[in-house]
Amino acid sequence: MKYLEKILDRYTMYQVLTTVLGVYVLYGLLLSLIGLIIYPFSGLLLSLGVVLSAVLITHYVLAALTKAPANVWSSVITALILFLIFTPTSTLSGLAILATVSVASIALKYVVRYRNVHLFNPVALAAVVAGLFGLAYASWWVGTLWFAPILIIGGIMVVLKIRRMPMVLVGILASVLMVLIYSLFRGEVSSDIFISLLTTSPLWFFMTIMVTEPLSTPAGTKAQIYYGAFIGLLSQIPFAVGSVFNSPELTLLIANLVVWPMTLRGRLTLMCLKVEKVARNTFAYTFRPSFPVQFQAGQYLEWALPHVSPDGRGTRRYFTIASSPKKQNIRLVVRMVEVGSSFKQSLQTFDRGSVIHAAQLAGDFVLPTDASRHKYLFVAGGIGITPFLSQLDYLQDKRQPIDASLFYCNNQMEDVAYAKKLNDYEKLGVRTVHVLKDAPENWNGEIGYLTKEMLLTYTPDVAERLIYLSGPPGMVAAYENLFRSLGVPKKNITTDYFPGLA
Amino acid sequence: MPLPIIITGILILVSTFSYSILTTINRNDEVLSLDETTVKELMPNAMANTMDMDNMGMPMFSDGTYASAVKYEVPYGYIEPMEVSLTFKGGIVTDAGVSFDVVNPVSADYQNAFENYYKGEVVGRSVEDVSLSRMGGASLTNRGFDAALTAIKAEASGDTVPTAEVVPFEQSSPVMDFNVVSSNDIYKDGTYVVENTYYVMPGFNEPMQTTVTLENNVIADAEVRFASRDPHSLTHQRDFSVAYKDEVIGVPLSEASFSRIGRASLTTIGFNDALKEIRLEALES
Repeated sequence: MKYLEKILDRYTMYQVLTTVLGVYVLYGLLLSLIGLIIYPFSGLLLSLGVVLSAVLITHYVLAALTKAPANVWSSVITALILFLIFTPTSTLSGLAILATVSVASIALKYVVRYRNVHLFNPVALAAVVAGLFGLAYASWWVGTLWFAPILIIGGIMVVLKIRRMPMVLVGILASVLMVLIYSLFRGEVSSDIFISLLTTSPLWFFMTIMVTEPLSTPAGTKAQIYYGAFIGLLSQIPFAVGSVFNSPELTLLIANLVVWPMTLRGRLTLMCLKVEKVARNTFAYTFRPSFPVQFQAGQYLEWALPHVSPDGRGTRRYFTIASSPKKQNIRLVVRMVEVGSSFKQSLQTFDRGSVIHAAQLAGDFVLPTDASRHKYLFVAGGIGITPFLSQLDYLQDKRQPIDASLFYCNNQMEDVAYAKKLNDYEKLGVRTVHVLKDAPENWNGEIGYLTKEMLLTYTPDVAERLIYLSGPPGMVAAYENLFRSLGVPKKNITTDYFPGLA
Repeated sequence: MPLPIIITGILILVSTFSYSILTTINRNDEVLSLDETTVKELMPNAMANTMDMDNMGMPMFSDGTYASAVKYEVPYGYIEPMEVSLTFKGGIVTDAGVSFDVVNPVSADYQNAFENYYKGEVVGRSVEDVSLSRMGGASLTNRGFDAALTAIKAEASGDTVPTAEVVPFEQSSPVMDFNVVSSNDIYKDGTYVVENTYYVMPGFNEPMQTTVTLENNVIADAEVRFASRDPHSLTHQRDFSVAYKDEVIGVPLSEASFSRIGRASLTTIGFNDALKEIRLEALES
């Protein structure tokens, strides 16, 4: 799993999702050729062509009209999902309906939005609206036995990439549970019900592809688990009010609405106020956000910087917020490398007045709500200092003292950022230990890597502390083992994962 | 996670669940007590041994056109009626036809897709070999077809025709249901009373009592009564009641199958079901 995550991290979310959905489409065509699904090959091709062209035309027209930043791959994904859940057809009226639903799903994104971001999963909204008008109903035709294995494999890839495994697993378990409860109430329990749920139902496609849509899911694993459970349970309750009956897509809309207060609630536009150099190749950008952001210290945003001729790594990145949630302005600390990506090159040209966007808020690298009840040991590797800057700044703003030791590991002196600020946190109860791999002469800090002896010298009570590790993946993994060997239970170690490309 | 959001979520789950349970299970209980006797009378040879063939296990299928009406269940408790007709000649299927009364609009997509492909899978094949269950995409419709096929094969080989309930959607093997629809049937004059139910969304039943008087194979009089408390159903039943006599009286029983009397499609399905039962009863007695 870890290995797979590593591979997937090299690709952007859009690349992974488009590839997986593309494989589903090809597989569907193959099944049709062999004759294992009843939809004729020509019908599949026609429907695919109609959905794709209707979606793309609407995308370009609306993007031109509204001048809002829009990613064409996001629309391609919408089109592929629509194709996979609405029954393929080759009749003229059927194709006209498919085209209408396709246009609606893109258009509704621009209509049902708040602060420039859609409130609902776009495909689910289009499906429910089409149903309300009696136009078309999502049949989830991919939910068949022959599709199930590939839906599971593709689903695992998507869920690993977007780091939503707990949420999706809980969602699937909750679905099974509700089917069990419901059939117990009706007095008709049989294994066939579950076999049918796991082979010929929308379950896999719905949970792995639809529910994982990031902008409408809450930030934080715990909240996501509740979200998954809610969707799993609700989607398996059959109810109908008038002509509106429950369906996966309706469930998703209800869930989107319930957790909406927990998302970023909008697409942020951030204007750059100043750029400072805080260490070698390391820059701090202060932004004024277009609306106040509610986040927990240590969480990250998905930043989008549309720029001319982006490279394969795309126009989006995950960066941790480095400032306190109490401050109105948002600070971002970024380290540039010699030959950076087009994204970072573009960021390097930033000046007062430059604009960047951010949409998705997520992350679990946060301190417990009752922060003063625990003792802490923080380890930051290089630019991994950013979540701690946010957390310590927040504690400072709240004037809340804590008992913490921060081991700040860098290659050389020049890489150390915010040394003075960190020194000031001593008043809060935070003791900073600088560790340099390549120390200058007369250096009175620590040299090399963290060792058991070093840790025990500064923090003899290391086993009682909550450990927070943030830095390059290799360092985080190595130090996690180090702390385990010092007797720290796994549940007391929190690591800041590097989510890879967005 | 903020408490108000958790509470909202739990409230939604509890209320939809109880709404769902109230609108399905209680109705079922109410109905069971009402039509228990009818069901028992109608199923004397339920699930009779269809495989007990006379000719050393090699069934012989008589030439002719056969028809079978089945119902299959789709998710959320919808029951989809389906009629299948097959023409056999020398043990080969030479023609096939299906028709549906759409209950759940989602099923219509599957049914359309089914209509586009099934003939190629069925016509020209040996009766013994026909089976659609391996095809994906409209597996529930396929099961309905296979159930009808089983019944037709039983009839064509001169065997006991089995009767059973709806083909449940979670069931992996088809269960049989059967009603003969043939224009040559001679029905006995008299007054027939059938109590049955029809499904309304989502999966609960409305009881109805149908009285039909037959004269010379033609419906001479009809009377339908309901016992619903649900305002939604009541509206449709009222519309049905205003319209049905004009449409029904004077129609030969063998051809009596209606669609959307008084624009009440589900009520009409219930009525059609009652007529099917009356056909059986009028033949047997």
